[in-house]
Order: sequence, then structure tokens, then C-alpha cells
Amino acid sequence: MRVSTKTFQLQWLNSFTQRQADLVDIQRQVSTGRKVATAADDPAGASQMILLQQGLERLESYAGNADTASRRLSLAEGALSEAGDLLNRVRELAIQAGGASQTPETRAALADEAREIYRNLLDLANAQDGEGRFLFAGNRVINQPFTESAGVVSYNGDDGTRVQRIGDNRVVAEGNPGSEVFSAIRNGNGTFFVTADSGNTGTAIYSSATVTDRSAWPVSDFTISFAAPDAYEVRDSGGAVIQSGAFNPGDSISFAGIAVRLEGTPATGDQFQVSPSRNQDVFTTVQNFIATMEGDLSSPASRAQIQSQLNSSLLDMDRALDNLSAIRSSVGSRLAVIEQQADNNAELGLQFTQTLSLVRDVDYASAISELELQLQGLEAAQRAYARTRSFSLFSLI
Amino acid sequence: MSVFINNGLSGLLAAQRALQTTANNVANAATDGYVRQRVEFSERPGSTIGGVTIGNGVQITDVRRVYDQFIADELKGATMSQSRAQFFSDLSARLDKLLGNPEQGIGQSLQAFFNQAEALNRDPTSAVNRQQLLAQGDSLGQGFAQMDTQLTRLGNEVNARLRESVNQINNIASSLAQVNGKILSNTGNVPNDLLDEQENLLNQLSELIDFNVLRQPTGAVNVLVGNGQPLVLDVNSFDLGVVANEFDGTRLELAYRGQAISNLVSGGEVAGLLAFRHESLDPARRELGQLALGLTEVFNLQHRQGMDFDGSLGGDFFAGIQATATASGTNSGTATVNVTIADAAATQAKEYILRYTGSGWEMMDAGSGAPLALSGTGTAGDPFVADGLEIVVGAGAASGDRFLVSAVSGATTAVRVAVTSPNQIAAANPVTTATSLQNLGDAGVSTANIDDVTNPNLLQAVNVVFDNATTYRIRDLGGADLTGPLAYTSGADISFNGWTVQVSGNPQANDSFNIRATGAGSGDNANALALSEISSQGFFNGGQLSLAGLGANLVSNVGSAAARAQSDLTVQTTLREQAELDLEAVAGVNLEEEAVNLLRYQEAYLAATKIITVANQLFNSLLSVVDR
Repeated sequence: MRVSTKTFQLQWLNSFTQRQADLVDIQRQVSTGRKVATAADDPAGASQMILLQQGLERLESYAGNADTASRRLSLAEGALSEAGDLLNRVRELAIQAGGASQTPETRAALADEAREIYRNLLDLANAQDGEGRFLFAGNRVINQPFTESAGVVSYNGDDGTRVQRIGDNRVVAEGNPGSEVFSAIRNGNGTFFVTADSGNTGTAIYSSATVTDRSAWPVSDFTISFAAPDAYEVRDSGGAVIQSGAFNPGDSISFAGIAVRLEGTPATGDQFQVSPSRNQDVFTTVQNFIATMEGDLSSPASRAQIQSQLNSSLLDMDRALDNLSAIRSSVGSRLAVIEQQADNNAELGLQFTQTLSLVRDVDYASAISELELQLQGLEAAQRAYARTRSFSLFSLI
Repeated sequence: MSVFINNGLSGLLAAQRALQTTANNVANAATDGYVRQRVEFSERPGSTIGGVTIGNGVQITDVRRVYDQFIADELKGATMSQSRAQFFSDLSARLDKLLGNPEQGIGQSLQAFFNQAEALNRDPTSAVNRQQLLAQGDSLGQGFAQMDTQLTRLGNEVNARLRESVNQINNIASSLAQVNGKILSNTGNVPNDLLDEQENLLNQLSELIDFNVLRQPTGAVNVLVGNGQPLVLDVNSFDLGVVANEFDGTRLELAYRGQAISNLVSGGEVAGLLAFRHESLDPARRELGQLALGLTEVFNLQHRQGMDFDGSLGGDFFAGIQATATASGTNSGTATVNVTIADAAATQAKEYILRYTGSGWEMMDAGSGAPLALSGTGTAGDPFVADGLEIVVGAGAASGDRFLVSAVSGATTAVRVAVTSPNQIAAANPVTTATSLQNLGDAGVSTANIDDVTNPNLLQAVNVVFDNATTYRIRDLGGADLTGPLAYTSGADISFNGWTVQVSGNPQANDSFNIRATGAGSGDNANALALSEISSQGFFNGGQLSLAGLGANLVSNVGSAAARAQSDLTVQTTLREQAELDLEAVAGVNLEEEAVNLLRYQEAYLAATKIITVANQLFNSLLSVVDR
């Protein structure tokens, strides 16, 4: 084929410009470390990069959420643990108070300590997270949840729980509302509670209250009354006698799926009320104990009253402690979930980063050998050009 | 004897002309558009004397341009395609740099905004978090606006380049007409340099626009553009121009005698510019608009589901985006068209042309021309509905009147935070549930789902009160029944006043659950959580495409358009180079060849002079014989 001199030169020129353009691209890749500068370099990869980067940012958000949640949960756990210690101390006081050696002075001392604990408990229930937000207020985090007025503690928060997202499709509650922690605690044994009638004149006290058949319990009020010290009757809420029998001190009276054990000798007409458990906040429980400590001990009958009340208080405290430890263990397991999720997220983040790097980053080994190759190619082309252009017929004429 | 000397003389003259031509070839070896010339020799007719024919030497019949018009025209075609591809690719690459950076772009602004929404989750009561979300919303709006400014700038550049190209085309057309004039006024053979100039001008024109060339027997050319509009007719040229687009005054179209012919060109820079605008820039703008619209609509939809820090139901976080209907500048009727976005999820990144046929309205995709089915009658009570838009047409349309309708055209510049105070950010669930502490049963109540935030009684405080373990009623706080008694199933939905809750467990008689407005100052983050999630939730395309996905698609679409343009350019460039090579192979000067010719004609010249010398000697010796 005939080749014009211009074409001949142009071909060389094109080959140089093309090689230089390739070289610049490789140089850019090596110097920036990125294969993809704009989406045109790899449209599908660019879209993948964006989604991966968003994935990584999302994981970062999760980490921030998890930090927030775990900080608040840890604070809550500290407060719960302290509240547990305080309640345990009150329980010890209650057990001490049941001993035979109490004098009015020691009882007053117990009451004083219990009052102190009551204050501390109230403070704990109003604990804050360091940013001025209350830990046990449900979602009403900027209002003090527990306020006392005329000896009655009321809850001003709500039942809400804020959740934080800590992973794809995984959320964690970052706290428990104060109502759940301190207020919604069933008294008695959780199913029913027994109170000795304040008019009782005998020395009978109830010593245990157990559920024998939960399904037979009708959730209603009953009265155990004594027609004679050795004969009892059980009446339902309508006043009808549903059961009666002989009574000896220490007997358990069983009806409606429950059993109530009474000790001591009742007087004729003495009554014990059996009622379905109700919610009683820990403050009331402690206040009840304090009231018990300030009660009258002058007669055997009043001592029996006090003992019955002490037994009730102990049951109530056990319930409160159970509740606290259940919530603590739930908080603990949430903290564990957060940690475990953090591991999962880290794993996922690593995968994202690796995939991102595959799509985005230059493989230096291959890029540099490519660079070498391009340089060599350019050099070879230049040499070839320099040699061929010196051959011209005109130079020989 | 005179024959002998004349033969020598003819050889001498021929060699001289050949040497001149060779010199011209060598001199123009680097001249663009120069076609090598070759001297054509032929024998002079011989003289027959006594039945014997004796040759009369050489004559020059032509100095011929060595040219192949077919290959030359092929090259023009290849140039038109390559030039179009070149401009398309260059501008697409610019757009790609603008929108296609996977590490910074509108996707990142979007992500930053949603990250801030995520921060709000952690503490919705924090004034700082709320303020920051407003600030991020503002900067997101600015991000969209800046993007739009840059795209507008690219659009303006297309306008400016189009004007410039049109000027060049007009100059070339008038030069061609002048060359035609010279050719027509030339009575003899058409000079080669005029033909070269003509070809050169046509080649330049092929860089700018596609055309048909009609070669006249006289050597003059007529040039037609578009679908037959004459650009050059003999000695006359007709100017191309620009006109404003019928729907958008800031958008220039190629025009012939005032009529837009943008859609009739397919080659050269002009076609590249227009194709870039139509195939790369417009879709990118529309997709950006769709992203802006989607963000606004999706975020507002969720924001209205929440309750703000002042205890009011959430309003629009972003100002609502209006669909647009622009009348064509050519409309002769008086009708106006009103278009509203009825279903944002169904909207498309498209513009539509709504046209009155004289008896009814029809709608088509402005980009592809595909017709759309319109339901409804176009009245306020029964509007036309298509692709999520509701269109109401007024009276007074003339046949052929056109309107450009779109949900996304105005969206990019309209992203603006409507919430004015940080307290108006609706982070909380508007309805709160509570279990009464007096309850004897163990049943609990779930949080509320909001089914209908427009229910006027949504925020009414009510109690779900149980008659017994199996029936309940809903009462107001005064104790009056609102509904019931209803049968209770543990865990089943209880829906009322626009909310749904579930009560689970074993309630006892008189147990009650309170459902009320969350109120002011709540730290609830339920709605903020939902807000921060929506960027990854499917919304468009029947729930298939999320905002984040749309943002990523935008980048990859721009990128693949640029990549396609680049690979098309590579192909077109190869084709053009091949055609150039083919033509150069015929018409280009080869210096080696010229060197050989130089020697050849030099020898011929020397030989011819020798013959004259010999003839002279012969003559002299003859004379000397006579003298004796």
C-alpha cells in the first residue's frame, strides 16, 4: 500500500499521544491509589463504591448509637446495682427487726437507717445520665420522674423506652422506664398478699403464703375468719363461705389454688384478708417497713400485727429485689448484645472495606509493572521513530 | 531535422513541467487538504511521411489531482460521526467529573444529612442535635442547588458552543459559495487549487454538521443540511441560526430560517452538543430532580407521622415541591394547565409533552416520544392521571398547543428546609401508651402504630378498659364509652382514632390501658428512627428503589453514559483514521516517491537537453557541409 509521508509522521504522532495518555492514566492511578476517579472508569463499580461507603457510614452510625446505648445502660446498671444493695440492706434490717431482742431504741435506729435508705433510693430513681437526662423517666427524660409530696412518691415519667439501632435489623432498648423498675412491682408473693385485720385480738400471724395451683386462682378477694380459735372459714368477695374447717396453729389453709400458713392462736372474730397482688412501688415498701418499726409493741396482739406486717414487708422486698435483678440481668444481656453486635459490625465493616478496596484501590504491583511496560513501549517507539526518520532518499541525493 | 529538435524540446518542456509539479508536491507535503498532482504525458501525433510514421515527441495532457472522491466522501461521513462522538464524549466526561465522583457528590451530602438524623435518635431532646439537623438540611438543599448551577453552566456552555458552531458553519457556507462563484466564472479547466479549497471547506464543514453534497458538472457544489435545507446553492449561501426552545428560553436550538431543526442533525459538533444535552445532561438533571423530589416527599411523609418537641404533629420538614407545566411559546390558545404531584412514589425522572389535538389531549414522553395513557377527563373533579401526576387542563386550547409537564424539572432547586424552629422537628411517636399501675392482670400494651395521622381524634386520650378477661371497651377519660364491648384476643390489633396497639397477656376486669398524645418535651425517638431509615427504604419503582439507590444509580448512569461515549469515540476515531489513511494513500505526498520522480525528471530533462545539443551539432555539421 502506498503511504504518504504525512500519514507516516501522523501515525507516529498518534502512537506517541496515545501512549502518553495511557501513561498519564497509570501515573494518576499510582499517585492517587485509586483505580476509579470518576464513574466513567467503572460505572457499576462506582455505584457499588457509593453503596459500600454508605454501608460503612451506617456502621459508624451504629457504633455511635451503640456507644450511647451502652453508656446509658451502664449508668442504669450502676444505679440498679446500688438500688439492689440498698434494698438488701433494708431487708437485713427487716430480718433484724423480726428478732426477739429489739427494744424501742434499736427499732428507732432501724427506722432511721431505713429512712436514710429511702432518701437514697429516691435519689437513685431520679438518676441522670450526665447530660441532664433522667435515666428512669421513660421517654419524659427531661422531667424528674419521681417526686415526693406529703410522703407519697408519684411517677411523672411514662412507660416508653427509647431504642437505638445498633445493626441492620437490630435495635436495643437503651433503658427501662422508672415505672417498670421501681413502681410496677407486685406485692405479696406476686399472686396474692395477706393482711392481718387491724382489729385482730389474737396472736395469730401468717408465716407463709404460697400458690399451689396458679390456674385455680381466680384473682379475687377472700377473707379467712375465725368463728372460734380452732375453726376457720373462708369467704369469697361476696361474703359467701366457700370453705371451713378446724384450725391448729401452724396449719396451712388451702383454697382457690393457694395456701396460707398461720401460726399462733387467733381470737374468735379475727380476720385475715387475702387479695390479688397489686403494684406497689419500692418507696411504699420501704415506707411500710418504717411504719412497722414505729408501730405499737405493747400487747401480744399488736406484736402479732407487727410481725405479720414484717412478714409482708419481707415478701414485698423480695419481690422488689427479684424485679431489680431481673431488670439488671436484662440490662446486662443488652450490653452483651451490643458488644456482640459491635463484633458483627466490625466483621461486616471489614468485608465492606475489603470489597471497597477491591473496587476502588489500585493493585500497586500490577499498576507499577503496567507503568514500566508503558514506559518501555514509549521509549521503544521513540527510538524506532528516531531511527526511521533519518532514512530519507532526499538525504542521499 | 526540425522534428528532431522539436522532439527534444517537447521532452525538455515536459520534464520541466514535471519537475515543477514534483517541486509543488514536495512543497505541499505537509499542507492540509493538498492533493498530490501528477503530470500526465502523452505522445504527440506522429507525422506520416512516405508511409512511415515518425513520432513527434511528448506533450502534457493534464496535471491531474490524484484523488478518489468516493474515499473522500467516506472520510467526510467518518469525520461527521467522529466529531459528534468527540464532543459528546468530551462533554459527557465533564459531566462525569461533576456528578460521577463516587467519593464526593450529592450522595455524600445525602448521607451526611441522614447521619445527622441518626444523631438525633440518640438524643432527640438535645437542642444541638435538632439545630444540626436543620443545618444539614439547609446544606443538603444548597448541595442540590449548586449541582443544578453547575449543570446549568454546562447547558449554557452547550448554548455558547452551538452559537459558535453556527457562526463557523455560516462562514464556511459563504466561503463555499464564493469558491463556487470562482469555479463557475472560470471558463477553462477548473484549477486544482480551487478544487482543493472546496474540498478543504467541505472537510471543515463535516467537523461541524452532517450534510449532503451535490456535485454539479461545472465543478460547483450544492450543500444540504437537515432533511434537505439548502446551505449552499451555487453562489448563494443560507445562514443557519439559533432559536430559543419553545418551552425554555435559556435553551438554544439549531434553527433554519427561524425553525428549530435540532432533531434533524446527526453529525458533527452540532449533533454532538445537542446529543450530549439530550442524552446525558437532561437525564442527569431529571434524575437529580427525582432524587430531590424523592427526598422531600419521603422525608415529609415520615416527618408528618411524628410529633414535635412542642407537642404538635409534625409538618413538612422540606418545603413541598411543585410539579411544573410550561406552555410552549408557539401556543396560540389561551388554555392553562395545572399539574400536581398526586403520588410521589409513582413519579418518573421524565418530562412529558401534553398536546391538544383539537378534539382531546394526548401525552407523550418528551425524551422518547412514547405515548402515555391518560385516565380521567382533565377536569378538577376528574383530572388526567399519569405517572403519579394529576393534570387539570383549562379551556381555550387551540389545536396543536403543547405543554411541557414534569414532576422533577423544578425539584433540584427547590430543596429547602421548611421547618423554622428546631423544636418543630418531629422525632417522637405522636401517641404514647401506658399500662395502669392499678391493673391486676399481667397484660401489657405495645407502642402505638400510626395508621392515619390525619384522623382528627388521633391525639384524643382514651382508655382501653376491660370488662373481664375477654371483653374490653374504649372509653374517653370521662369514662364514657367510645366503642365496645369488643372481644379480646391476646396480641390482636386494637385500632381506633387512627392508631393501632396490641394488648398481650391476661387482663383482669377493670384493667385499663391509657393511650394518649405524647405531648411536648418527649425524649421518644420512634419517628426520628424511622426518619433516619428512609434513605435505604424502597420508595420508587413500586418500592424497589431507595433514595440511596437512586443516588448511586445517578452516578453510575452518568458514568456509563460517559464510558459509552468514550468507547463510541474510540470506534469512530479508528474509522475516521482509517478513512484518512485510505485517502492519504491515494492523495497524500510521499517524499520518497517525489525524490525518485525528481531524479527521473531530472534525467529526462538532461537527456532532452542532450538531444537539443546533438541536434545543434548535427545542424552545425550539416551547415559546414553546405559551407564547403
